[in-house]
Amino acid sequence: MSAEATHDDSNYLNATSGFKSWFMTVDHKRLGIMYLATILTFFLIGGSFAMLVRYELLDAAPTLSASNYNKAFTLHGAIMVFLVLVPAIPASLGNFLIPLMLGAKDVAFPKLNRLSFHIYLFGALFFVTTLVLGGVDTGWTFYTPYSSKYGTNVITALAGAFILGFSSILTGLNFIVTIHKMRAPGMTWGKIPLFLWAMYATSLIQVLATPVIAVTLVLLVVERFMGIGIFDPALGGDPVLFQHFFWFYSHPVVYVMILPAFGIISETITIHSRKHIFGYTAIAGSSVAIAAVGFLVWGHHMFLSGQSETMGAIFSFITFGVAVPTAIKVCSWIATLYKGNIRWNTVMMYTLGFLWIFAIGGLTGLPLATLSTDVHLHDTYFVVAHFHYTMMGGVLFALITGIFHWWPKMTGKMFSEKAGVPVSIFAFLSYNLTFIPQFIAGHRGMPRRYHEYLPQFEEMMRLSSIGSFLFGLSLFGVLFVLIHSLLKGEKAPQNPWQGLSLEWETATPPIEHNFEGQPICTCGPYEFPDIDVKERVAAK
Amino acid sequence: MGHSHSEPHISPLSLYFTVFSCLIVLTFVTVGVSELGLPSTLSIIVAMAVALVKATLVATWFMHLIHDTKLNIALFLASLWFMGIFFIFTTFDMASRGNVMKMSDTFEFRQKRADDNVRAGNVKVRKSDDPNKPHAFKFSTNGGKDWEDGLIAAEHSSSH
Amino acid sequence: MSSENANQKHYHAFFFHTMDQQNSSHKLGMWAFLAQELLFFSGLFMAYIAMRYFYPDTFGEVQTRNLLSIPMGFTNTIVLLTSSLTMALAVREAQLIPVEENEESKKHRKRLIQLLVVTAALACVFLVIKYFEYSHKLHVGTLPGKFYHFAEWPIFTDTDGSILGAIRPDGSIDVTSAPHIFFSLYFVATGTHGLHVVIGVGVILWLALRAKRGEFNAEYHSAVENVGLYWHLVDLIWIFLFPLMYLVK
Repeated sequence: MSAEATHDDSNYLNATSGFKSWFMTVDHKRLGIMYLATILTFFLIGGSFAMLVRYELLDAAPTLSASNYNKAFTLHGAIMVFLVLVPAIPASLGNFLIPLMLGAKDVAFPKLNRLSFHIYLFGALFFVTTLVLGGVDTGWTFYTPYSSKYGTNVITALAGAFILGFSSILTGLNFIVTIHKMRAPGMTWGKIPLFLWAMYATSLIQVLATPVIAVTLVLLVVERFMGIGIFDPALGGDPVLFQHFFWFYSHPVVYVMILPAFGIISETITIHSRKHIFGYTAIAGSSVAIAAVGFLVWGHHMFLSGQSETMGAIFSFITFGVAVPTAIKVCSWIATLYKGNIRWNTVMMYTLGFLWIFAIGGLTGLPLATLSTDVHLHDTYFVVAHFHYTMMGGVLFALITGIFHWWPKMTGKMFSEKAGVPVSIFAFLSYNLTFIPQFIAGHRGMPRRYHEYLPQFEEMMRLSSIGSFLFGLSLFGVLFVLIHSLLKGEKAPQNPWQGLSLEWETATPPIEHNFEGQPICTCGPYEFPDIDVKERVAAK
Repeated sequence: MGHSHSEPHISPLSLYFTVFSCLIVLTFVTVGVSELGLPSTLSIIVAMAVALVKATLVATWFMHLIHDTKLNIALFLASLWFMGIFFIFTTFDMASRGNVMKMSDTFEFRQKRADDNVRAGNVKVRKSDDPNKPHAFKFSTNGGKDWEDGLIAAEHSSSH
Repeated sequence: MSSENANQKHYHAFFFHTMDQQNSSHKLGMWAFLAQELLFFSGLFMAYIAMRYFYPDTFGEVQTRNLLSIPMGFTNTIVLLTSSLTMALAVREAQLIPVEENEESKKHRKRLIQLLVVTAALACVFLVIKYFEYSHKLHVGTLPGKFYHFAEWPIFTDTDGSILGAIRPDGSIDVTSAPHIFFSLYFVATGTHGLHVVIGVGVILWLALRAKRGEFNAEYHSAVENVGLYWHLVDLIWIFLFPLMYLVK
């Protein structure tokens, strides 16, 4: 690996200054930071709507009007899915890390990268406009005929989602080409960090699935304007057809959200247990397998919508199949921990939290994939809890893991473990307090998207709401740890966690063009020299 | 790292013109076959088969896939594959509805509303001898006769 | 370290080691973009398949009633195929421009520009014919969805805005007939395709401008190649759209 000259303090953060140098930058690292800041801002807004929803559900009697409640959960869902979860890891950490991990000086298309960011902001503007105009109330799933005939401010929301889709497509396109074409000499596919395998699979889905939602939203807008009669039964259309269109993208998109999260966990679980990853090939292959098979299961969202039972059975069967590669990953991670030298630091706490949370999320998908049980669980809080465990718990905990793990690299500062670890435990506990009661309530029949409900669910709903307020607090705790680090954190060493992938081989924070020369890859990213189990045993 | 420069394959002019001629001929074939009056399903299959051949010609020679890396071909085929999944699964759903459980039928529902409206005398048809009436294209296969007569028949049967 | 910094041509980006890497990256990027364009149009084809499945007779009746002009569609197909040829030939000319400036480079550059302009012109012919088709439909009333008001094949709209079906000559309503949906599909599909043609014209003319400025040669012409790929895709989509809309009964 090439040595880095630390002759001066110039890095990508201070190399140039001024609004224009940031807003018009083509530097993937600056774009990653700006994406992160924007995404966290929208997370705050989407989270506020969540708090509104949970506040409403504190007791069985209604507080908000039904239509305002519809707006609250729609805005929560739409903002979280389109503005936060989809770009959360790819656009921020993906952008920052991919060229660094590959040993490249930037992504394949830096100007396109900048365009992706600007498109993201433009799409976000449409969502803000929707908010200002009074919000949209169709549910983030925009089911017809409500969304094609009634609903409020539907077109601005659809336009926003459409535009955001292009940001996602272009980012995915950029990453596919970058990973294929810009690897350092000696870095074969078998030597790239697993985060890159995850990002590669994610990018494939982004490019292939997102255009379908784009055309769906266009057709919905045209249906609303002109009554073209494709999705509205009153005009001769088929509302289930809309659901096919919608879920053909919206199922693969959950893999866009979670695959990068898996990638992060693969990185942190090895470094922080000082042990090589168990099953590199299995984890890499399962990422691509999830991407491919994930395109074949969308009908499991439509078991009760009027889809044929035969097709439902086929989708159910394949859905069981897509759980297998995911299980392979979870088992491989646990096997990685086994006999490792685990460091109980903040990053590891969130990593372990992820393992628990995602395991629950994945397992609770099984009764939903099963036709007979889904009849009872569909559209109940069980589903809500399931997807919050996988998407919110999974993606968010992994994102936080990744932010802490690469924080020194991005900012050049360390953060306080003394504060970080307790906050992580608080976050984990309050998260579970929020969502486990939802499984129970849903299992007992509490429907989703209802602003008033039967009194027998009040106990569980109240626990959940209290949990959610505490969880919100814990996230502010995370923010506090990060801001404290920026203001008062110690200067980070170049490689604080002794990682072996190329991003740790350059300056911390990196210089503007990443590497002084061309780094060469001579070993795999997980061949930690002194902690391999076999060597330790042999040394005895 | 040395300067590596792979020579791009420059196809001869004759190749382009040959492919182009095939495309034109196939276009004539497409239109010709459609005039044969084949049964609907067969007609669609033949038309799509011809279109597929034309598409393959364009992709292979005009888009140079034949000289390209397998990666680009794979990406193109992958998109076709997932497109196919979308078509096949969705169509299979539409075709197998009602196989296990009879569901309420939109067509039945609409037919009932239609019949109600006809009975109530709500159905009005425009007069057929309006000089400003817009026509379809003049190149009609049967002189546009049958629907014009039909319209006049409707004129007589419905009330205004 | 390679000689990238010192002798690097201005069209060779600093983050690529070789032109080969740059060109193959640009091409892969374009194919990824084409893959997503295909999936975008697949939604329109899926809508066609679904609506044809529900209303098979409507599609046939459109042709029987001669509501789409086959000669115009046929002409447009030939026009677009020809433009595909000229585009492919333009790419070939770009491949033949030597890096040093001499008589040969001038000759091939001139041909490149001419072929690009001809391609754009043919695309404009396509759009003009489409304009005639669309304006005729506007005139007779075969418009999408609730704007449909063609007198010779009327549809019945109930008081609550729902469209129940076409009105038969005897005054009854045929709920299995939905011409307003056919024309919705027609306009959305050909309209989206037409939009892509318009964008193509703009991009091709921009290429011609860049070519005039001498920006392309055998070593660097990925923009021409890749716009060519885009243009062939536009042609590909029409190859399927034409029979599906105009020809199959």
